[in-house]
Amino acid sequence: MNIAREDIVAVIRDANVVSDPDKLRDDLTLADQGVDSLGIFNVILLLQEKYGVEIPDDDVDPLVSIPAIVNYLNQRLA
Amino acid sequence: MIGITDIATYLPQCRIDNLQRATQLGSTPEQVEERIGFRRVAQLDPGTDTLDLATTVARQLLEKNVLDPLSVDVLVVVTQNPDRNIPHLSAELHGTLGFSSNCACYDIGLGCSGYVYALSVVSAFMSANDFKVGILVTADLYSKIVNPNDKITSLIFGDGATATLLTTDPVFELGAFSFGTQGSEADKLACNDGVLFMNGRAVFNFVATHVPGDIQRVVKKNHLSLEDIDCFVLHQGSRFIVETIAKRLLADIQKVPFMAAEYGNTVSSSIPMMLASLIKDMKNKTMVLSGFGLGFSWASTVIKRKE
Repeated sequence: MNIAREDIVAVIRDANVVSDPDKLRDDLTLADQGVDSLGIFNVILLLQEKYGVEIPDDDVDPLVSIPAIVNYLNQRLA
Repeated sequence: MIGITDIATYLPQCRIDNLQRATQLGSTPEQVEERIGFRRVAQLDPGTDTLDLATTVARQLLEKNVLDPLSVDVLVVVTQNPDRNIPHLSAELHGTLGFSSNCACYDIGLGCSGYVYALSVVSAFMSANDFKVGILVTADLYSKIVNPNDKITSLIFGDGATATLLTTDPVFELGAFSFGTQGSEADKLACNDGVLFMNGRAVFNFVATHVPGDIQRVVKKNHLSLEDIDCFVLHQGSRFIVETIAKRLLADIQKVPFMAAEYGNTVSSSIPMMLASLIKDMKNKTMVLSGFGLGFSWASTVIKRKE
């Protein structure tokens, strides 16, 4: 399974944590684009449920941007 | 059938302004308002303690129902923060209220699921012993164990107490219950060396994963559908938690109120604090109660206005 940027944006859209997920940039952190810690929790939970993978607390902190999430999940699911 | 006849509530006068202190705790007023949801949290007035709040709210219940203290068959207190561990707070409360020596008393040591659990325990205890009048007090004062500089907990928890009158001639009858525990996660929300610790992500994951399904199960167990429910009375963990459950249930958000913005998450008092006003609204005929938190533990039921 190869996870693409669009897959993550779709999850962020489901999480309803930003007004326009299509405008999210890859070169900025999600926090800098208005996603707070509670929003991150929600995004990570939806990713866990969608991909059937447990993401431990220690792995969450580095998941600050869309590319970081894409890379992480592709490594975990490889 | 045993059910809820009336509820009294008590909130201390003292309030901590979360909007003012949000920035110094690493949050923002917007996050407090829109996500955490508690603009202010109630805090125990100086010189008072758990027994004082329990006494005040129980007396209020007795007075508004013109209830003879000697008529109470059972007195139960839900708390995990009594003034002292021994004796049980319900016995001390029994003494201050002057109840009959024939009145049974015990404490229930549960957190945010405690009220719903206690409704089941106390109503079953009353039925088994042919009791007519029971009083269920919730009084869990988290200001005793919250570190005021901890962003994760100090913007959330507030102090309060409630007293519920349970009788054989209720206004709301109790339906079937559902319970659950995820003990493997219990240390994610715990009091260590006298200070409350909370892993916010773990609590969120637990609630979002287990509670909506439990509510669906208990509704079905009561031979109802979600459309039959007039109001979902959810433990007020935070605005974000309440809205997450509503979204996962696909419920009309108008039916899932968040009412604790001015006093905070009052733990086991959270549900009866809301119910006290919701039961007065005649539109509310069938309501879901769902409590969840410490343990991780959850409990849900349906209550129905008696025709």
